[in-house]
Amino acid sequence: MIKCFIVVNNTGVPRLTKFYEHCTPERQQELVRNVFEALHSRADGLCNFVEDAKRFGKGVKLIYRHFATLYFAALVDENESELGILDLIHVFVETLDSCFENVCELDLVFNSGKAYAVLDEIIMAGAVIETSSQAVLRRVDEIARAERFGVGIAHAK
Amino acid sequence: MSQRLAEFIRGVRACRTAAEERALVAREAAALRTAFKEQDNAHRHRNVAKLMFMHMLGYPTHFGQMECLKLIAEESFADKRVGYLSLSLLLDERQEVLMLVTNSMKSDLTSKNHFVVGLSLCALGGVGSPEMCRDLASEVCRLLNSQSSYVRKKACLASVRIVKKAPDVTEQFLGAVPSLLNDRHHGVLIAGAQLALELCACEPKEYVPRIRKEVPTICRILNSLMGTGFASEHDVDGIPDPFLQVALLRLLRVLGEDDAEASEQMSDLLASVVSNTQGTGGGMKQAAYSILYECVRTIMSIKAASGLRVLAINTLGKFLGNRDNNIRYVSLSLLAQCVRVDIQAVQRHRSVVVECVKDADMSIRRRALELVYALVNETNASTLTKELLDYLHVADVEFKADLVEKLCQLVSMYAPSVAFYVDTVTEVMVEAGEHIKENAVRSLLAAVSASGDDSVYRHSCQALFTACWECYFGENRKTRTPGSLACATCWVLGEYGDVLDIGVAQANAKDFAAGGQVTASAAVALIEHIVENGRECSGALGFFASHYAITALAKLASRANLEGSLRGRVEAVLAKTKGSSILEVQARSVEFSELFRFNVARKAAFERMPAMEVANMATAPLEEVSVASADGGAAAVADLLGGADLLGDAGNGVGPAAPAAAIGGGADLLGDLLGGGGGDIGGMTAPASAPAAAPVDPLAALMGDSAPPPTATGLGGLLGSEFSAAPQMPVAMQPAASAMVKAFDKDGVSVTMNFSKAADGSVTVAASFGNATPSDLNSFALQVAVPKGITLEMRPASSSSIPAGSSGAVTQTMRLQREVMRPLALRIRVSYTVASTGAAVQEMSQVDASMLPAGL
Repeated sequence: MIKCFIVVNNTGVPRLTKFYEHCTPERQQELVRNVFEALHSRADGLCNFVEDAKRFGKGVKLIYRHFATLYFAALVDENESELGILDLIHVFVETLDSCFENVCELDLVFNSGKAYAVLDEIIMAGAVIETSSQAVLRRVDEIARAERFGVGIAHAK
Repeated sequence: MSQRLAEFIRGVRACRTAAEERALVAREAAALRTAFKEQDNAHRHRNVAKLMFMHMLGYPTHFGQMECLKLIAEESFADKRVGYLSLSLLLDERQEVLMLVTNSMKSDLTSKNHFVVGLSLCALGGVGSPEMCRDLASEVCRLLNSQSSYVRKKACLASVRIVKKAPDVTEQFLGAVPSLLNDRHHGVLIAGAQLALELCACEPKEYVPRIRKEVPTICRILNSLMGTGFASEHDVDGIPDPFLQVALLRLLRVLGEDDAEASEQMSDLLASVVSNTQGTGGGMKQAAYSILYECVRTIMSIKAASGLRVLAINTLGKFLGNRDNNIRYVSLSLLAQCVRVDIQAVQRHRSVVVECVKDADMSIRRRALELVYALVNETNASTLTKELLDYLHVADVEFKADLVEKLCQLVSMYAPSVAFYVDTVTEVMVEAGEHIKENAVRSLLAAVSASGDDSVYRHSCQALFTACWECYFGENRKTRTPGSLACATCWVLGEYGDVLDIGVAQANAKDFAAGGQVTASAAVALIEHIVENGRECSGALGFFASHYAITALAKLASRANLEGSLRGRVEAVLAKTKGSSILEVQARSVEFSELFRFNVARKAAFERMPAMEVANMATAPLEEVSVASADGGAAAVADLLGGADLLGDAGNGVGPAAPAAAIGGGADLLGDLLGGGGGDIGGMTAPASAPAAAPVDPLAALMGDSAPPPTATGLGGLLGSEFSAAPQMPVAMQPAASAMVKAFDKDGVSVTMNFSKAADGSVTVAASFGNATPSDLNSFALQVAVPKGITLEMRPASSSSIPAGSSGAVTQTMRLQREVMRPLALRIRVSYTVASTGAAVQEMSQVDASMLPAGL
């Protein structure tokens, strides 16, 4: 299962965090810090997986991608496929990119609601739920419309 | 009127210092509190959004929790959405506030709007508490058959949460699995596969066979996926829906494990997945690798035919040949999985794996090191350790600790000879002595001692002396000699220095000719140097170097063949160190100089230690220690020093020793060696060992008439000083508490438990079973229950039958880990059948905190 999904920028400021397992707010902050420290010290071109029992607990893997000023990272347990999660992060970023037309850090800061909507359509309860970026985009658009016009919009198919 | 969200965010971003930011957030939080108190409904939406932003930055937001609930109860979709989002971000399952939202969620689950239902399901999946899960289970189960695929897939994952949190209401979800796996929609299939996996994990015995009926369905889906029967929208790099393929392959793995029929059903499909995915062209994409990876794992786990296994193993080659770091990492994981099934196949890739240990990437190095560790056996041990040693010279600091630990474990298990073991660990100590663990050094010394072979002793003396001398005076001398090396050298030279020739007397260790043959005189010169400079040694053991050195000197000067030439010199050193500022050295010097006045007692006291028995730490972490009875006073001392218990405490490097001749200085050294300093004696609170007040008597008795009162005091001081030395110990050296408890004793059947506490707070319990009845006991089983907050990990017993009249022949170890510090207590159930009568017996017993010492 995916334990949490964290987006943190190059200076360690979290931009989007979602925890799928019980975690106190203090532990959440600690994890964000740990993720940033683990990633910041890694050179480019290395593999995208980090195991660090001290920072994240035993059997937990950090899987990440680095885009411009942002790290997109997921902490997962042994049952997840590493390469699969890597593709999933790609789907997430791709979707954000079409959502915001060339997504940048500020989009996430000022439109976190939309970013979370995208994330919730891709990952739910720590598991993958949708992997097609077009399908996600359609849902997010519909949700945005529903927000604007109130309840009673077209039902999803 | 509060400011807008964007303004607030801009304000925070404009802060130049953390203090400025804190002040701004505190101001805003105060404004929010006021707004909440005044029931500012118009801006609630915006205020909660601000809360979420503050929460992400790590500021407290508990005061706004009720606002989330109010938003959820609103009619407007926009409010609801922010409400549910904040619910899953700001709250968690442990908060009681959550109970209040159950009703709103329940009504939202029945909403006509699918997005509202989706929000509610999403929140339940994210933060649902066990009570909530139970309350909403039937609603969610109904939604699994919803018209909308959007709702179905979300209901699936909400069900996953329910299965996890409330295992008692899972039965109803099982019935939905077949229809979910027959769904046409991709998202529902993925979610359905996860639900099936979760159900399998929840009740493996009951549910797996029922879900196994779906194997043909799953195979059909995979088949049609490969035939591109599904929407291309989900393809990645031309691979049809890799996410779904991976999820289904994982489900097949769980269903095929230990079941020949299901394995048979899926084997054709797995073969075609492998060949199809590989067939997608020379430059395989990452998505293809993730499918192959999952497929090979499945083949390795199920009861696959050998042909299929060969196919899987051949694909490994393809993985390893890849230049991409991610693929290489994954292939190492895959090899690690295969090791358990087919070690020979993995051995073929050994050289590649060893190369990976030297990779620039830490993640890959760690993986590879673990794999090398799994691959080592007697035949390749020397080449592999050589490779790792070479690498140790260039490894970066943060990796050295891991490498050193694994290297030491490897040689302790697979070294072709003791000499090889000594050489390897010596090199490790020279290279990375500050990283070596104390118990690794202990294991080495135990192995040397256990060899009982003079040529090994001579070799060890030579190797350690040379290494240590090089560190002090060699061409590439070190600023600080590793403490582990200094301690080990002193110990070996002190114990076995008498196998060396006396040689020409040397005033100064510096005068030794580099590369020359070590002599007893040179050894004494070096040890003298360590006595004087022991403080400068590095690492955790550095503190003890001078303690070891002083004892080694006394030992050397008491050996028959060396005494003539060395005694005067050593006594001169002792006279000097009587004024040492190191308490331990000072105390020992005083004691030893006293002992030097009594030749008979001294010779006995400084005799060689009896050969230690080596217990392999990998196979037998803790064994019941039996104390061999020794004659006369020796036994008293052995008992007093609790030689056996010390060993039990040390618990990792050295198993049972025979403390028969462990007298005086010898036993002291033993304590030192095994307990990492006399501090252990201070920690002996176990009822099994002699009370702390006892020391003086048996020792005085041992010294007999020849011992004048000052000596006895001196020896008492020896023990006394151990107590005073204890507080100086570094934390890692903290003595561990231990206790021996008779946990069960009835009708001649007994269970004795040896509790010992490790430095990390966990308690290891070594249970040994005794059978005083005339009949063998069969199917003997020990069950243990512990209070909440303590986790229990039990290893299998060494045997399930206990021979008649035996005691300690069968043992079982378990480990207790406390989440909170609370007194230990165990409830025990023992069941067995009496072999002669066939009667089955079951008995209960209890170990209370009162039976255990306070230190545990």
